[in-house]
Amino acid sequence: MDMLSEGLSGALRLLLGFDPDFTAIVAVSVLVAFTSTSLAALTAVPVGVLIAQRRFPGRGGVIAVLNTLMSLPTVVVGLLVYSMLSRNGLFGSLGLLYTRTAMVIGQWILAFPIVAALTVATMEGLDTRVHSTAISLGASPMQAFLRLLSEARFGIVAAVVAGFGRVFAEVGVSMMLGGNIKTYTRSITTAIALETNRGEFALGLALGIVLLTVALLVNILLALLKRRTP
Amino acid sequence: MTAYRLNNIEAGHNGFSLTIDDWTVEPGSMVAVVGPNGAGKTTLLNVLAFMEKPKRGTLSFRSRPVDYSSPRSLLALRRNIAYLAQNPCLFNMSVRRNIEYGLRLRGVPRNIIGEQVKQILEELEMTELEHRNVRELSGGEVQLVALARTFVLHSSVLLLDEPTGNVDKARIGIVERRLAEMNESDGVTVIFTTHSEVQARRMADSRIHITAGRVAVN
Repeated sequence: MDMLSEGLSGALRLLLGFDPDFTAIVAVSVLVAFTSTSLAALTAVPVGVLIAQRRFPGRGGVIAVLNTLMSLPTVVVGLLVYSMLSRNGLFGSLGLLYTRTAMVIGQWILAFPIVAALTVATMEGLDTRVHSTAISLGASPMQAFLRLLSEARFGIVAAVVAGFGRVFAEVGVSMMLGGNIKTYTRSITTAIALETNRGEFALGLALGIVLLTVALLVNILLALLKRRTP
Repeated sequence: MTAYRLNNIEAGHNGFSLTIDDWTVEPGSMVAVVGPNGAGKTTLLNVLAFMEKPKRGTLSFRSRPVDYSSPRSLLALRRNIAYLAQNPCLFNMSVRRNIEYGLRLRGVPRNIIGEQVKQILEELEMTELEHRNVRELSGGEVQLVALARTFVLHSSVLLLDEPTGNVDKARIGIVERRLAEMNESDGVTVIFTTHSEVQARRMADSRIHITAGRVAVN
């Protein structure tokens, strides 16, 4: 209980005091997670929509693989990308290891199957009459498709938010590909791991509270968005 | 010029087949399509709405054969008619936005859309629904909104699949009156399906009966 109250007061102190190290840690987490989620949204949403709309051989297998990859262990992704970005790896010459770019790549791989699989599920869950109703009201095929996307908007946003939640809270990729470099690649989760190892439980808890607060804010934003749309 | 001419048509799928040897619909007529469930009424309306391509035969609209090979031509044809499907689907947005949808697709100016939506809401006595989300509506209200979305297009041809199904008794009269006005005053061609012979006799100036995919023109 002492540890929790210390953590809370520590979090408040850090938040209100705008501690530069603390701010840098939060900024790295938000920046990297936001970038990787945006990339995942730009790539995985079209892929998910395409899979949902088209019938092709092996479609069921593709969906099964995407669903399986949703629970991809972060350390496995970290290890795979590490092997490619390390000096002797396929892309070693790019010098990306221990950079924010490497973290973004790893997190994108984590978020992609989540956003794509949830987009497929959303699109397949839509009322099958939406498309034909739009066509019967005079929509062109493209306008009818946009109508479908619009009907799926909350599901797609929820898919992207789920992707954000996954990458914002992950530690394996950030640790292995970012290297936990202070003010550059140290994120909230890697900082928590470090502070816990050092025995600084209060700071670790404070960072954990920030992590949960950001997740809560994202979800509140989503709920508000849903309520505002008629 | 005829509104529709169907010649030697066969349509349907999943083992069901609707056949029509020869049927003509005159412009400005009010036609009731009567028949039991599964007889082929919806298939016929889908063909007339250019939503389903017949397996054989010729469909002419305004005396010109329909060209199913041209998506652009089909789109233009669909924008000439207004179609209410059975168990209509409303989009997940407000009642007002649903009613506006077809008008927006047709590029109607915003101020005119506003006036027309207001007018149709008043005519169907449903102004209180304007800003409601469709998820909050009852089955009867959904049907009314779908009717409003169809009527507001002011098309020269109205195709209505069970237009008063789900509508409460008090409002059936309002819908029928509005249909009669559009037909008589504006010369709109109305083709509607119904289970009720009584409704067909009350509203239509001609009836066709469909039984197990065969059409009998009265």
